Amino acid sequence: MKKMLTGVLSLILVASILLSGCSNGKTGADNKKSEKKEKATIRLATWAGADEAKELQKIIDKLNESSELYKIEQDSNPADYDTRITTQLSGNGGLDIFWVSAQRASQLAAKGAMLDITDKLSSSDHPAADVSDYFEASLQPFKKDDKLYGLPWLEQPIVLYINEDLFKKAGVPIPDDSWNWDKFMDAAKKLTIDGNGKNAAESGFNAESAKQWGFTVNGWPPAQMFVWQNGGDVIAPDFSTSPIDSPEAMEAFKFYADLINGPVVPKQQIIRDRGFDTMFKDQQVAMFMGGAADNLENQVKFKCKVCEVPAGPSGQKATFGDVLGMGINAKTKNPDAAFAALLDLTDAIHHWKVMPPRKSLATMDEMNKLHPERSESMQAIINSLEYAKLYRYYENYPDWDNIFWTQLMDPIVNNHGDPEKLIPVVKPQLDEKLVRK
Amino acid sequence: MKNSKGKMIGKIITYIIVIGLAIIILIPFFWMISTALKSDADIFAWPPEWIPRPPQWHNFADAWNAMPFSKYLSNTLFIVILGMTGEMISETLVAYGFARFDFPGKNVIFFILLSTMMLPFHVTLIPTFVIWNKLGLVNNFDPLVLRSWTAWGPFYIFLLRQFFMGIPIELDEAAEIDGASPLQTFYHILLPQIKPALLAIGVFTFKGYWNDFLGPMIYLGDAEKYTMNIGMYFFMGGPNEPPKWNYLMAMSTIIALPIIILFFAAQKYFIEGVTFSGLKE
Amino acid sequence: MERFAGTFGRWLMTPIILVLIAIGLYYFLRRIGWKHRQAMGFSLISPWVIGFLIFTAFPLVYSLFLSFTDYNLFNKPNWVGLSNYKWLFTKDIEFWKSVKLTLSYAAITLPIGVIGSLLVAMLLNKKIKGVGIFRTIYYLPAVLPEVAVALLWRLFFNSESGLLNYMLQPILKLFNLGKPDWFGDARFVLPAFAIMSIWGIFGTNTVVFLAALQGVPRSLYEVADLDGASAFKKFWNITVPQISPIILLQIIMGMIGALQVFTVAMFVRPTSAAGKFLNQLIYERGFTQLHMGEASAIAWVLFIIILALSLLVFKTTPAWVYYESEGMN
Repeated sequence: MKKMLTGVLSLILVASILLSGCSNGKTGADNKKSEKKEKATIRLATWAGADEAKELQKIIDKLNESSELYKIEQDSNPADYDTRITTQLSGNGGLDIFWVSAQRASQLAAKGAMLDITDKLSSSDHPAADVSDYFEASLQPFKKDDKLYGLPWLEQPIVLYINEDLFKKAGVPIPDDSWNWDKFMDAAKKLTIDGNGKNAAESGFNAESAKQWGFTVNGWPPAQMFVWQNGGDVIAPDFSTSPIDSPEAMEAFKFYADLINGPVVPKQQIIRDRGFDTMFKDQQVAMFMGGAADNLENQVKFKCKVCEVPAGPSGQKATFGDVLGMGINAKTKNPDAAFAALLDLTDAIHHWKVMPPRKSLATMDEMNKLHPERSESMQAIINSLEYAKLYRYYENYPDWDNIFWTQLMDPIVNNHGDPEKLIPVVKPQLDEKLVRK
Repeated sequence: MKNSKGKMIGKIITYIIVIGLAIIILIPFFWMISTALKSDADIFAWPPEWIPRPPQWHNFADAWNAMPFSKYLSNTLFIVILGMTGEMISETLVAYGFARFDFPGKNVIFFILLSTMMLPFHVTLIPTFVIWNKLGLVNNFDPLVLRSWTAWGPFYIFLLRQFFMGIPIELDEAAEIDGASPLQTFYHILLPQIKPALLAIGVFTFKGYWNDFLGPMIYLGDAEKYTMNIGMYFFMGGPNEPPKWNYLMAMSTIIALPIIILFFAAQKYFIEGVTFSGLKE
Repeated sequence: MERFAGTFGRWLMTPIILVLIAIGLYYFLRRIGWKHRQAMGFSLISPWVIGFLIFTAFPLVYSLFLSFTDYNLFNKPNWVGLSNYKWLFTKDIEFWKSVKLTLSYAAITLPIGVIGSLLVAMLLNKKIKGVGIFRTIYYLPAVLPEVAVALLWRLFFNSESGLLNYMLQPILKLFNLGKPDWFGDARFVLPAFAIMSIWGIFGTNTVVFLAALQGVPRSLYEVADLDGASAFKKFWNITVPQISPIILLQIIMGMIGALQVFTVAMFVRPTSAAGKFLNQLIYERGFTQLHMGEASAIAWVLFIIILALSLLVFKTTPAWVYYESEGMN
């Protein structure tokens, strides 16, 4: 009996050693690899869809060829990207570098999931490592306590794409520098045409039979943009409060609600069913606010011009700047190779997409060189970058954003919510999310 | 006289309702295939088109080729085969233990097993994730297949136990007299007796692993490891892009097909498997 | 193929380890005086016990622990006592809305599901030709993957061109109503989900009831016929009591299922103005906002709700559930 017992116990011991050996096997092989001074395999996660991934692969292939340190392997998965990288980063998934939205970056950087690259940056002479060359605002999401945890590869301001053909047909002059909310509304009304050919500014206009609309909005463009244009803010600079109840903000939200409920914007149902940007491409909507990188003017069959978004009533210009970037997994096994890959890839993307968040590259000359097909639109885009603002990201920004959307914006957009009634209720809820850790 | 006429009418009404409901059930299947065969423009045609003209048969091939579904198929099959094998072996053995053996605490343990059926999976979702995380096995197939060996299907254990208990104990005793060990009795005497149940459970477990969405979504981070259900998610579009409905329906049809075929083939035993668990002891 | 290697190896190792443990357990139990068959039995069920301890019992306790912490997956959990619960019950605006929505959904869909499937099963119980074919067809809904079903629903409920609004055209025209935006308008979300639950009548539920019905001895009905009992009386006094254990099973399982709606909600994406289902909330809080502690707290609340409701249902059983073993009048 005793013999049996000891026999069995030793078998179990052997088995568990084998098992632990199994799971360590992979890292063992990796260690051997780096000892041989071969190129480290750097896994890159992105959210690119099929087409974008193909273009990205071309860039990666070039980089891999010329680098002695790393070999980037692309792993693109658009579906539920945020959750995926969260799980991969929290596990030992072997992820090295990854694309990250500004919102996620501030969340992950604060939680220590991203590698601190401040020192690496200051000791590198790579052009993309020159922190002073970046627009200060674009670095914000990657900063925590004055340390940098990633680099942005894109800052794209929202611009106004217009269907010039429809403008001509309706006899509406092209937007110019004097455009503000009033002029914008005027144009939108004249560009909303019903089944009888009447536009929204004329009497006898029948909204139900509208065939063409001046504008479209479904929560995008973000209401924050209008708040800024009116001189207000949704989160105070010191994060102490959410001043959505200031008169300026109130006005902006009302303007937004009027847009949605008014005749110049299609019903939300219609937008959902026919596709938000599809409607602009199909010429059912005359004006569209999209990211500068969308490059709509080269995708549509009609004459499309890129203009700056209208200024607020008092002439204040503001637009939303969406920032996308890349970070290194704090748990990466090859920090140096990953850093090199990060710099090279970031720089490459700066030369690929519109707009690079770098002062040296965001000039008319550089942009005309890199994107000659968009030279007509460049001035508007570069101007927009000057006054583009980001959201005030912080560690628990998703919590705040969740309330902002579900309690304020969703009701306004989808349920004819009245900003005047909603704002007093939502403000304290938002403030809670600012205070709470 | 009156009775038989009434009976006739009753019967006709029954038939009408039964057939009517059957048609209602079949409509979504029909619609799924119909949508799969539509071109992008036709999907939202008003009034809704029942039969697309002309049917875009190439949508099936296009959808399949749009993403590496062959790879996703092998991933799915990998999970299914490993999961099914582990579950069927472990669960039959565990059920055997509950059915034919007595030991201290058996009834309490069995009761606990039954009550786990009532446990909402979200209570254990996060800690389970954390456990797999600490083991370094997140972003891998392990969380989806390793537990199959620990008989993680209480419903199937219950079902199998019922079936085992339905076999006369005399058969076991006779085998024992012939010198068979409990395991031999299990393999040679009992298992053959419950073939219908085994088939039913085989089909059920196949369906479970084949259709699983939440598990792969949480634990498979690598695009390389996606299952077909997750792969199909790509066609859902994004904030500014509407879903590609025809591809979605084409893939759904393709994904549903194996189960439907399997089901038709094993149908008789299948229903028996479900119904037996419903019978009282 | 490389991606399979690790898992496959570990998958082969697992049963070996489990068998070794079972053997070891056997000898241990014998050591402490258990008889041969007793030890054998326990060893046979040991894989389940191990799985239960590691992946059910421990997570249960651990999730309870997490609910008292602040945990974001990347740093160590941080004890915060009852503050997650306090926050949820007093300051979280989404929570109560979610509870309300989830409970309302269950309250509406459960009766539809149980009664509906019972009625359909009774229909199928009659002597009809080709009952096998119909049984098959009626089981089909269970065969489709949840994802496909959710997507079909999205198309079906599409306000512009979905089948439902198409079929409702005559009624809508009559009352001069516009086409309802089923998932976009908060008012229509619950009704939409109620309609979806009708689909759930078919599938496993109907077949289970059918089996139960077929288990009722015909003799009981024949005796009742002799006494001249009406169809309703037969139903109420014979059928229902006879299948009451199964009705109980369906109610409990249906309730649990209804309270755990997830996949459909994720794919159909109803407007958040209607509220979110509790499971959605758990997922979002945990994986999107990285508040795992809070998510665990919500999960436990859901668990308690299910337990409480189940207990409530069980408490009523002496009044209406008859077990064969206890004999019957």
